[in-house]
Amino acid sequence: MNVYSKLALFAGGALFGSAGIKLLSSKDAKNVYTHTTAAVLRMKECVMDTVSTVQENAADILASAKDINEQRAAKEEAAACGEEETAAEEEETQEQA
Amino acid sequence: MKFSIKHESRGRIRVQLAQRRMTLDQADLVETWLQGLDAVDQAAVHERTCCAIIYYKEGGRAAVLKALRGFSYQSEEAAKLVVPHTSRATNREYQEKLVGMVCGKAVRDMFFPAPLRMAWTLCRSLPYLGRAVRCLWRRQLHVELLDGLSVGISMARGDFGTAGSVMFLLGLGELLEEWTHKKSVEDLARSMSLNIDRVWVKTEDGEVQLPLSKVRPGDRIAVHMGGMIPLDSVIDEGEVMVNQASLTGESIPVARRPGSTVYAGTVVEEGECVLRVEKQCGGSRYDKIVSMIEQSEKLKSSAEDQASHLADKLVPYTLAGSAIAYLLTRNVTRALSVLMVDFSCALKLSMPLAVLSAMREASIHHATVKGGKFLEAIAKADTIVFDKTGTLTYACPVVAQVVTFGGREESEMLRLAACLEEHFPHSMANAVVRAAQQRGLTHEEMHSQVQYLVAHGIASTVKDEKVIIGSYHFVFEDEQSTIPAGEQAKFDALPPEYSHLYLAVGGELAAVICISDPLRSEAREVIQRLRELGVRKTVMLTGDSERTAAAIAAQVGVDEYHAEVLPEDKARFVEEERAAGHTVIMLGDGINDSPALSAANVGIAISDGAAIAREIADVTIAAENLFELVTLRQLSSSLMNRIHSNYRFVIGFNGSLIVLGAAGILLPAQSAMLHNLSTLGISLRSMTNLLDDTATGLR
Repeated sequence: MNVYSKLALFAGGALFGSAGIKLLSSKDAKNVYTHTTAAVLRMKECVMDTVSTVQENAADILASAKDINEQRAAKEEAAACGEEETAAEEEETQEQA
Repeated sequence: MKFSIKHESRGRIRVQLAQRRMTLDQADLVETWLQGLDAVDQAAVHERTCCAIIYYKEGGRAAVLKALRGFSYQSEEAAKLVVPHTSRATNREYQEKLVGMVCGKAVRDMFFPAPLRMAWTLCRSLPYLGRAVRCLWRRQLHVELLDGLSVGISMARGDFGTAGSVMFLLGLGELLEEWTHKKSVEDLARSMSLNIDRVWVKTEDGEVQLPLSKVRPGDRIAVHMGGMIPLDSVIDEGEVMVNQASLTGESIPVARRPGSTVYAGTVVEEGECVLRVEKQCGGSRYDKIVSMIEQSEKLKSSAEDQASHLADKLVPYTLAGSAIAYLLTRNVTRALSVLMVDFSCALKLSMPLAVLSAMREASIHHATVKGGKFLEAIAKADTIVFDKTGTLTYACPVVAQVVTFGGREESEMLRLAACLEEHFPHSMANAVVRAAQQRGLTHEEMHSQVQYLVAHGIASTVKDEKVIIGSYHFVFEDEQSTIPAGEQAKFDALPPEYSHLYLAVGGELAAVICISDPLRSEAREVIQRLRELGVRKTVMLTGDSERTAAAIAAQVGVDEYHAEVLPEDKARFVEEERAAGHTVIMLGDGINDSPALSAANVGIAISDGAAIAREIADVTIAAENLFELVTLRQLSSSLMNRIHSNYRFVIGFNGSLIVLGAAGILLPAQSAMLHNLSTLGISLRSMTNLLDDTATGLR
């Protein structure tokens, strides 16, 4: 590091210490911070709402899927019962004949 | 209220309420209101999306929608609704933390430059390293040591990615455990802070029953034996023994005299008093209960303690294993792969989650379990002792007949009996009062001081005559009442299948009230199912006469029964069984069951019964159906099975990880990932429901 860069660093530090801090803690800066924080909080709420929506939709899908399976099972049972009945009827008619 | 239907399936409907934002209080209000509707099985309201998810009973869809259309926040109905403290705020807080952790990790891994990630990981690892050092300092070989070593060694090798993921998974596990613990405590506190509706207020005209909300500071209320003190107050008259278990956790009653303060929620065990109300209906009781539960050790089960100790005991073996791997193979990488796998944190994490989750599931089935060790005891139990009235029978006995003696009039006797009986929370008393009400017999408080003798009866004075009402033992043997001349035959002809309540005025038998106490229809089957589930001895204890007890015992199918049992004898019986090595469950609902309830391994109270039984009991079940006992037993056995299978999985899986690591097949980073993911996986699985919905027929 030559003399000029060291000098530049020193000057930068002095500037920051005097004017820089004042700028960073001024009312305008505070305004900026406040708005940024508000935006971050809004973003957080948005993310949480999305998560909530995704959870609800997943629950909906699960419920519908269970429904479908139940209906299929009921249909299969009904079909099996129907088969048994026709088989029993056939046996009866055979015996009678 | 306007709403739109977002999704429908059989028995379930999701509606979105037409409002932009919903506050937590509004969400609680809507949820409570929905759950109170007849057509609704279960309801949940999500305040972020303003959606209500409603599970309705068969054919209830139209009713639910109609009710929703008519709902409004400003309506009277909504204003009158008592909304219990829900854990909505806690859930929200922890959900945000969870999502924050996951999103933060994703953002950091994707967007942060390497040096920044390194710095972050270093900062985050400080607590873990600190704990590990503290462990070493105290010469303790605990799980924290392994965690710290795992993180520290990864970082020392420059593998910041692994260190980061290990800490992330550990942090996730800790968050889940904290959340579940907090939720369980809140749920338990909520079910323990039951409110009572009506109290006896002493006015110039005598005692008047008023709803709790109408009581003002300065009013005087009368609390009898077995009753709950509803509000913070000062004792005006009477000396009592107060059970402060719900406040301090101590089950030994303390004596209170006029001038001392008593608190809401405590129960009068002995004696009666008149209290002057200091504070109106307050919410302080809930917080007191939460702090009491936090401090008590009852929540933990012995299985959890065992798991915790085992976890700590395994740490030296893991370290030794790692050292051996190094010595045998001279390969640092392999030794590290072994070190990354600590059995222990899986055990320490998943056991409490399994137990707390089981307690939560029990509350879904309307049972409040006050601690993990009671679930263990229920699973282990081989003897169940039942009280008869209110437990095996519906708590609604009905007056069948009133047989009068000495030429007295039936309705007068019934009126007199009702007048005395209405002060006490016994189901037989309620039957008498109801019968009098049905016949339109009203009365003024014509009696003086009413004395209640546990399991015996009530004594009082009316118009200068001593009036007693109670059991045979009390009326004839203790008080020496006589049967009016010439009516012996009538006395002997009393129908035997009813329970008898004897009323004597001035030393002479005046009437016998015949009460029929119908057995619960499911009682027989429940006992059968319990036997199938491994309960070897079922016993019925009752203060009733031998005859009635024998009939009921034969009907219900218990192995053993004892009649005319006094409360101390009930407790003695339970203690004898315990001394003989059995694990005993006691089921009861009245004041006279309290000693036995505390003596048993697990005391179960019916939630409709006397307040003191509910306070002393370890578990309370809802009054509708005795099958909940069977469900509870199934739940407890499933919990024990899950705990054992957790052990097997943790030891088996991690053992194989160690072997693979030592053999060089797995790298340290991979074994760390697999181990931590499996820990998280088993923790999440421990949080799922134990019982299948179809097993119990409920949603």
